[in-house]
Amino acid sequence: MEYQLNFLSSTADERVKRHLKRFSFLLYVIIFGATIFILVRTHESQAYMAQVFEGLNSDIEGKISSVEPRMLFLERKIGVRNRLRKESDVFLQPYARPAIWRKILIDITKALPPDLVITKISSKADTKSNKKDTGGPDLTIEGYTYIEGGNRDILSVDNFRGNLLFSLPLSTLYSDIKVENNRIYKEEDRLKLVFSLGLYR
Amino acid sequence: MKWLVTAIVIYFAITGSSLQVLILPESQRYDEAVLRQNQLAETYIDLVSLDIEMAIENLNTQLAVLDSLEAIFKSRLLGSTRVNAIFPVLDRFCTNSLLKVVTLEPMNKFNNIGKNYQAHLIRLSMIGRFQDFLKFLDMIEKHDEWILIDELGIKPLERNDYARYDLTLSVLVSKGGKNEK
Repeated sequence: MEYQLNFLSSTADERVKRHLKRFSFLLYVIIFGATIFILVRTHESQAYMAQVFEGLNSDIEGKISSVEPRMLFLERKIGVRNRLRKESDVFLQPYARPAIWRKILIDITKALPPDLVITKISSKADTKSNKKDTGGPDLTIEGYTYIEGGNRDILSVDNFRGNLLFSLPLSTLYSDIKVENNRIYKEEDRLKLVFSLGLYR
Repeated sequence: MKWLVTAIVIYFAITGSSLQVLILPESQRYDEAVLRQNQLAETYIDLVSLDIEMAIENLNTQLAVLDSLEAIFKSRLLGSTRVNAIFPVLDRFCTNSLLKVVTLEPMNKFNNIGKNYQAHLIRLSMIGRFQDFLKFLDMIEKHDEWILIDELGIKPLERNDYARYDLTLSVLVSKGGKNEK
């Protein structure tokens, strides 16, 4: 009886074991198969997407290369324009034109407060062509006034400078206007304020 | 148990090598394509937004203006190769604007203007009224040839509204010696 039972038990175990082995094998196959399937599909989709983007790129490259000759033409034109622009100061001579000087002189006389007297206006040659640039202002306006009416007279030079800053050719051609000299002397019974304005390019 | 471990090892080995062989190269190819596409799209948008034809048209307009400036400049260069030819003109302008000439002489020196032109210098001193001097400036501006002011000095005189005007004038000539009119 015992032998028979043992025999039966071992046979049943063998069968279960075999089933288990088969089931495990099937499970392995399914897992391997699923993994390989996923890998292959991912590979295919990536290859497809890369192909799509490469196609788009070649399309855009084609469009860009079609406008390239015009771009080169445009660049050449820009080069010519820049060269001519550099020379435009030579063509226009903005610092030496008599018409500009005329306008500057008119503006100086208009900007001059009634109590100021100009004793000298002098300019020096354009620094670009002047090899011996000694420094100092490019345009100098010298003058004087008598201090009679109190503190307001002292400010008249600053008012003159302020008026000059609003003059179009002056403020365009000379970026900086400085009071170079502003001294008070006693002349007879009156106080004389001597000034010098320096205009710099 | 032995089989299970073997299966796991084989599984990971196969999965890893498949990733290396199948997925990674394609992934790199895809990434590169996307990056290139971004760069190209940016360049293309720049080109499209530039409107090349319009830009060329604008440049042509600017070039026409600059060309006309150059043409006007060249047309006003001193016609005669002798700088002295301008002296009678200056004297006439002084007379017409009621200014008295004190000095009118060539300075026998020149400045280079750009690569192709020279400015020959003339010293001119005059006495007269300020209004007349402004008239004189107007006349030399309107003269056919360039008469430019290199240096200027004005000193009022005792007499009302009269002043002394010391000018360094320049006339422009082409370096070749011939006017390119």
